[in-house]
Amino acid sequence: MDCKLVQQDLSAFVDGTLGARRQQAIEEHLNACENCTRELQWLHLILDSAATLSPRSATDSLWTKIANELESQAPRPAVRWRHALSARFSEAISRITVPVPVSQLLGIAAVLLFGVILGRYFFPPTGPEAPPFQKKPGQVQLTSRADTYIEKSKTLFLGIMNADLADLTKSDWKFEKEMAGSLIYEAAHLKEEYSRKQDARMKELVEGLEMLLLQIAMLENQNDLKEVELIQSGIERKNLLLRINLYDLAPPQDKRLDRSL
Amino acid sequence: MPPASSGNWSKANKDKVSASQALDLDSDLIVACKQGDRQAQYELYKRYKDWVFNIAYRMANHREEAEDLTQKVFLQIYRNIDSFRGESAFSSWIYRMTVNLSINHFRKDKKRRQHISNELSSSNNPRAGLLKRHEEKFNLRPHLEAAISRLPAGYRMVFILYDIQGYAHNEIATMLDISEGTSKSQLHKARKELRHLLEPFIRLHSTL
Repeated sequence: MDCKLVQQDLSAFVDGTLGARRQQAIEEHLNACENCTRELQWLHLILDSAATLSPRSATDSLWTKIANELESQAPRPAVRWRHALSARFSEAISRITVPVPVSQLLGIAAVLLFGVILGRYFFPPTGPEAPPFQKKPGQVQLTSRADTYIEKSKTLFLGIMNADLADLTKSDWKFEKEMAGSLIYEAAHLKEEYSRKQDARMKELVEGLEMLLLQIAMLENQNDLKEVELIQSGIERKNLLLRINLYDLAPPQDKRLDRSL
Repeated sequence: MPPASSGNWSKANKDKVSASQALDLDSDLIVACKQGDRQAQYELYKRYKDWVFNIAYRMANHREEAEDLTQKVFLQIYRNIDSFRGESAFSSWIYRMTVNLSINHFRKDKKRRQHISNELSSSNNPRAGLLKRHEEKFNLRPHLEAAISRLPAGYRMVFILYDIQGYAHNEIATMLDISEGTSKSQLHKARKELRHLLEPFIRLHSTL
């Protein structure tokens, strides 16, 4: 038998995976061939050395490295408003249709303000002035927090309502989710305060917004058009933008708030 | 079937493997890991770190690189644990992820192989330190470790799993998603290549 052919099969021979006849033939050849027997011994040495390689252990600090990496990848529980307002979200806001150019609007506002100043100069009020509304310090703080919460929610909802659903393949809703997450914390505080003050209407408004914020915060990372559409219809169905606008239009003293909604 | 030449080693390794498979995580721990519970993640790490690190070490033959690879494997496990649906044993899922990430890691790294190749060539000069080696009992292991790390990634993994870890071809086929026949043929090619790489040592030892 050819030594070259035998040596090609030595690996299968030591594993015992050759057919019985081939196994037998090689054994007979090995009994007669010193060269192939030496090859077999070397193969044994390689395999025995491989089987007795010492197991290795990682250093103790490896877990610390992994844990640090996990920590750095973990999403932050809440983010500041300025950071949360992403460029993509700003772009969505900018797509809100405004029929009149901004410069013209500013011009009209300046003319109106000038008119009011002139009117008060030439026709000063004659009757007794209404006393200014006095807010208690705690109430000022609460109203201001509610204003911020409602204003941010409005911006978020407008962004969602005006989002281009055809372009959602590139979006992961990361910033919207983060913003909604931070607003939910604020909602919890506001609800507690309004419960304490027995201001049912204000509590109801905060809760109404909170429901939608929860849905936004729980959006999947991959785009789920159905979920987004549900949120859009929720905003519409509950007239949230209208309710926010009514809140915005109410005079400051009424934002405590029994008459604004 | 384990190599005929391997004596008791394969049985010992098989017992180890069976024991590790018996350590399959209970479902509570998997759920906790899915929720990002750090303590649960540490428990999982403790159970599988030795297995993962040994595969990585044999693939790299370099401690730091093996630790980097081990870290990469665990981060991938935590990141993808949601995709584990319980259709196979959890240990099998981890083994599959480890071997596939390791092979991909080394397949991409051709520069490294060239570097190792040069390193092995210089250390393979059998005439260097001839006297010292002549006085010592011939020990092939350090040269074998270097030679293994020079094999192509696919051959290397099959050799590590069969000849070092003691897995059967059907188990390797499942882990690597290849046929048993491919596993066998890659093993024989790996052994042949190793024999070739170790030729200078073998020749030297034959003349001593």
